[in-house]
Amino acid sequence: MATIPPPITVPQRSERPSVSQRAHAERTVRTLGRRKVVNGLMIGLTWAAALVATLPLLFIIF
Amino acid sequence: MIVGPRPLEEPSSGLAARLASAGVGDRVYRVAITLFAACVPLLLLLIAAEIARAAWPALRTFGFGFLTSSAWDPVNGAFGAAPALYGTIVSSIVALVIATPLAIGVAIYLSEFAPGWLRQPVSFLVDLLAAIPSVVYGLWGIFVLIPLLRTHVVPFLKDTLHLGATPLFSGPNYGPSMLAAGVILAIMILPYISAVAREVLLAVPRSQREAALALGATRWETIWGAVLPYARSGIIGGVILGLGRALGETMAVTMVIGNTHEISSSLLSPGYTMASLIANQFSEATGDLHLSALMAIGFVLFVLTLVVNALARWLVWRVARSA
Amino acid sequence: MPPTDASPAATRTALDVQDLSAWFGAQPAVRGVSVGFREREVAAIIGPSGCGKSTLLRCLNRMHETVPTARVEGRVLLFGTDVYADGISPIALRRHVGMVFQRPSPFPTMSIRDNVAAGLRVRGGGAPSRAETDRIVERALRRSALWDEVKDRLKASAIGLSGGQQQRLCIARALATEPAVLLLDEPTASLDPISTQKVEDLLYELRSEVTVVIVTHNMQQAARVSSSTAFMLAGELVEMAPTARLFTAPADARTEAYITGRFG
Repeated sequence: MATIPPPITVPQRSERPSVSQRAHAERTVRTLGRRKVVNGLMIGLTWAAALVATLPLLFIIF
Repeated sequence: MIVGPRPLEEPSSGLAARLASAGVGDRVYRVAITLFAACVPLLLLLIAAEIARAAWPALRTFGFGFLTSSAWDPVNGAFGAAPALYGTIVSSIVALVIATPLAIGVAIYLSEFAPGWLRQPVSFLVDLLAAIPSVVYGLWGIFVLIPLLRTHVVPFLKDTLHLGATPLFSGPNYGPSMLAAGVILAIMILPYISAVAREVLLAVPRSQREAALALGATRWETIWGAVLPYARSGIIGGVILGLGRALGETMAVTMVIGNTHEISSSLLSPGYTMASLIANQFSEATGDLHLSALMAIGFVLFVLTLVVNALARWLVWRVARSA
Repeated sequence: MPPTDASPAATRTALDVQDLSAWFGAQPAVRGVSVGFREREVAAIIGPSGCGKSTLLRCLNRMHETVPTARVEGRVLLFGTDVYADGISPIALRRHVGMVFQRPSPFPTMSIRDNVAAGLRVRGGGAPSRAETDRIVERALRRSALWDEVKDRLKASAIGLSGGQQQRLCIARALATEPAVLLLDEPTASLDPISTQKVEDLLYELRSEVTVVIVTHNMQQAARVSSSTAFMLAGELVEMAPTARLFTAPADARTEAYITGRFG
């Protein structure tokens, strides 16, 4: 998760985006890495939940 | 081109008779199913009335104080439901707090991430938890869970997380406790919540997931922003189903909760629940007032269950309406 | 009629598909397609059911790979960047290449406003301020010709809208993230004629700002809204030409057979 992929560049439209919109786009690129970490973390948590939920039965039976 | 029905001005007499007899059959059927359907609420009312009648002596003697009193003295004839009411609610809340995130996590895993070959076995293992008899859970609680809590979990909570200073985890832990009951209940209601949540999540249309993915959402954001909101009223229904199970569970709880008439803020202390109180004392009740007090406990449990279900209906209705 | 009605500045290729093949499991859906979609044009992809036109479209924003067992080979250059290159995130790509599906799919638990803002909000962090969001929502709804119909009930549920309004809401939702390319997968297939007309008018308006690729089974629709049209058959691209020429003087006999209604 260390490398943030290169941003995809698309040409500006004739109507230029506002400054805040551009800042917003830049924030988007910056937060992409963090979003991916959250994504991986939460997916990992659901794996962990599945593992934990199957344990009681195994404990009880064996 | 749709061919119209033949004109009905002159139906044959046979057809008319058949039509008439079919009408009779419909009426008989309607009356019959109405009666059967009416039986269910009628039965509920009868049960409620019977419990209330049996509980009446105790309710008349103690009045509203029955709900707030902590006394339980069969010898002197003083009874109060407060510790058992408190224990029922708190152990169920502990169970929900543990089981809900776990069950939803499992449901999400199974509906979104599990590889095909793992989906069936994991579903099966979790669902099987519902098939284990209550008394087996109780035995497992006594021989495995309580020692585990005492030697590992409680020291971890107190020493590593320093939760000993909070009221919830204060005081010593001798063994049977509200926490043990909550954990047992959590394991017991887990399969119900996760089965409902899994089915509800699987029923979310693929178009909802694709719409979120196409907006640039990660898989988790898709689940959090589109799938879970779509499924929320169904998931709430599953949680309420689990809560209903937890409130009424008797055997396993009786075996691990310690059966003590005390209200303690600490989850490490023993307690009582209404269901286990009735189960423990009903066969050896001394005197009419004692028996009546137990019936009054049953009545309170009955009302509590009704209130919880009504609340759940209201919650699901509100969530569905805001959708 | 001129071969294209694109604005003079629009000569670049927005999406350049090079030898693209796609599979569902072992089943090929797209076979070695190479085609270019020019900037600020409406391009249509037509063909009979099952010809791979939707799959081709879904390869352009990497939605194809979200289906289990799906596989893609080849290159898709978005303004020169290969979207299938290592290190390119499909998450980031899809913000630049928006998509609208066959069935309107508004988020039922969200208000109209929140639906449009979903692309801005669904991200983990850095959502724009309230005022900024309101501005973006209004702009997107105006561009999708829905603003006048919903401006008084932005907080109402999106479920209360008609099917055609829901589909334009989905277009607004896709436009809110300011994509450079908008992909539409049979967007009017489930709509009535009047709603269809509204969506078509809207696409015609959008062409000055966004590159639009629309998959349709309706040849009249392709003729009405697009400046160039690609015809696909059995996973292969038969030909791509300016719309007027494709429908009047197709180069390939199979195209002629299709547009004259001899099959499909």
